[in-house]
Amino acid sequence: MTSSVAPTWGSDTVQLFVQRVFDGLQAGAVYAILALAIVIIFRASGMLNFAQGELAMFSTFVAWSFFDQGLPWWAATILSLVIGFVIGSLMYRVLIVRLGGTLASPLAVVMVTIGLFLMLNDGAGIIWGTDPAKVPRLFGEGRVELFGAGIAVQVLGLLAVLAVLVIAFGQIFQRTKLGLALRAVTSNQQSAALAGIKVTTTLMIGWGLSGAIGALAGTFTASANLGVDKNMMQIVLIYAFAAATLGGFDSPFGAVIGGLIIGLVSELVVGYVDIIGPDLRLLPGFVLVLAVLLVRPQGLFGTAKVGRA
Amino acid sequence: MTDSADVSVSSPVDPPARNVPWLRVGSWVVFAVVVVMLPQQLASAEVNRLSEVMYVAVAALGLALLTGYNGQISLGHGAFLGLGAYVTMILTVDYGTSYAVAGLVAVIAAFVLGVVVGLPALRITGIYLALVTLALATLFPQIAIRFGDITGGSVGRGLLPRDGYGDSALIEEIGRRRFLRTQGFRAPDWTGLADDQWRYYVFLVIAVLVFLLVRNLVNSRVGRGLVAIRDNETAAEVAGVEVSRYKVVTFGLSASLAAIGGWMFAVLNNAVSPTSFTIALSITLLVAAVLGGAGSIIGPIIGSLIIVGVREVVPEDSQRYTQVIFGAVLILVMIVAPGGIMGVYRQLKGRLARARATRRAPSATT
Repeated sequence: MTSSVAPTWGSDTVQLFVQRVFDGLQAGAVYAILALAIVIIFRASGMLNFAQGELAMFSTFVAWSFFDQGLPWWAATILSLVIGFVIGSLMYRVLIVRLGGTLASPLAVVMVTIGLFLMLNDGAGIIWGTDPAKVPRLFGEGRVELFGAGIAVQVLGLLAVLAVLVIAFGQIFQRTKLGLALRAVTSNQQSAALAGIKVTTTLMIGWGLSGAIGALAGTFTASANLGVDKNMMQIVLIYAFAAATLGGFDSPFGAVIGGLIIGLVSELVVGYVDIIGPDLRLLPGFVLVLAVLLVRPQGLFGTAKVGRA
Repeated sequence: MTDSADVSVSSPVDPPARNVPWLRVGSWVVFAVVVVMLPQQLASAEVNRLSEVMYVAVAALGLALLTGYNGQISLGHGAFLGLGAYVTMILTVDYGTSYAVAGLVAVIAAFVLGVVVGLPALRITGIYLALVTLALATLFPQIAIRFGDITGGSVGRGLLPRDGYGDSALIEEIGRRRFLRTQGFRAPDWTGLADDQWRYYVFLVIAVLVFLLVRNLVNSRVGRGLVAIRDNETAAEVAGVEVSRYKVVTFGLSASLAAIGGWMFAVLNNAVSPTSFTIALSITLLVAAVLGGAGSIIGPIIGSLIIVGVREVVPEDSQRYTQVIFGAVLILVMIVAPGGIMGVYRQLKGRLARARATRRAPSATT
């Protein structure tokens, strides 16, 4: 195995690097998926859902309950999408609409989603306890060899899912009536309403879609950790926010690229910079976000808004 | 206040005594007497519980100044509180400084960190600030764990100096040597008070000073500037308010108040650990401020009282339900009464005054 690799580099170094790149991509793909969920809501209503990660965790726990009852994990994963959709759309219909929909003050939306964060997090602790809820990998334990490093099929499957998601996302937004309605609502709510679009229903579906995609991030995080944990999404959420910030909050493409970049950068920094180390995993992402917000607030692929008070 | 003035103008039949707010003065006097007498009557655990209310209230007041008056969102005040607590523990235990000096350093450190975090707020709108501060809240326990040789890592710090870690003989030796200056926050002999009572009175003085500071600030020219920025930044700028400087300094000041709360935390508990300063603490402070009414200065105090009270009333084995309740309360308040308890109180008072005025008005014309 080692003899076939170019000896000048030191095959171990290459192997470790490839391994870290794929670890980074695995983490990054999950951030990208959750960032995509965040971007859908931001595009449709200009809001950030701080409960997005906990919503994903909660959906994953519900799916796990079915898995625990004997449902195969792939079916539970699909089920989690449905659960995420239901919780997400209910959240909009029951809570956010009452704040005045898109006219709500950002402060109120932050507070309500933070309240939900607390409720879902500790609610999950109460319902499912703190014992680890074990979960298998969706694509099994197989490995493919690349430059001497064993790349898990799970990672490749995850990247494929991300690709499918991006394509489906584009198709829904550009080719379907729902996508048109969503884009119309995003662009101008009053005009959309006048054109006969049911704004509340459309936004409800938007929040539902976001919840469903977020749930996928939850099940993949659980798969990566081989278990569901009530606090597993908090750090993922920070990274997803970082990804969306980097890519631009109104750009789905940017969110995905941002997620992959953040995943790669933090994995490589943690791996190669001793002073950061695994304990400070969040720091590279935090610094990146601050830098982006200061230098280019609209992100890499976002559109700069011309402000008018 | 303007309400009561309206009433007396529109109803000349009222007794002149109404012009002096006897009720208000009286209730403050009663309140002051009760607050001063309480530690004499209560058991030590209850006194400590009230001290807890005060540290939560001071930090929540800082948050109210930032959120309620200036319209900036922070989901990371737990981190500033944690910073204050860690600085206090490390300075007093490892460096033998006095609690006063440690408090001063904690306040300055938090101000600097607050300004650093508040600076990007100038370029980004409210919702991104929430994001940055959320990251800070999540990052803080990680930093404390990472620099474990100073902070005690995931175990945290108690009253023992750090050079004693892991070696019981050494701990004993160092403990003996430094006992006098590491035995925590003790009542001086001349007071004749127990430690918990002394702590309570010191906290009370600090809390009253902070309360007066914030009250005077929001009632001043600066305070009107803060509110103007909250309501319409552009208009405030046009009206001559130095928006950038106000926003950054407010963030720093607010962080400093949270650090004072942290100083009180360290003094009260004589220990710090990363698990005390998670995102949950930041949210709890937010609940305290919002539930009581972030747009008022009495509101956060009421909110803190309720939060600590709920924790006290709920039995030990049901504590995990409190966070769910707090979350629900936060949502409910934002939907039903965004002004919190004080907002509801003001509304009721206004309605009552109007009703009284309209009831009197016809009788005055006849």
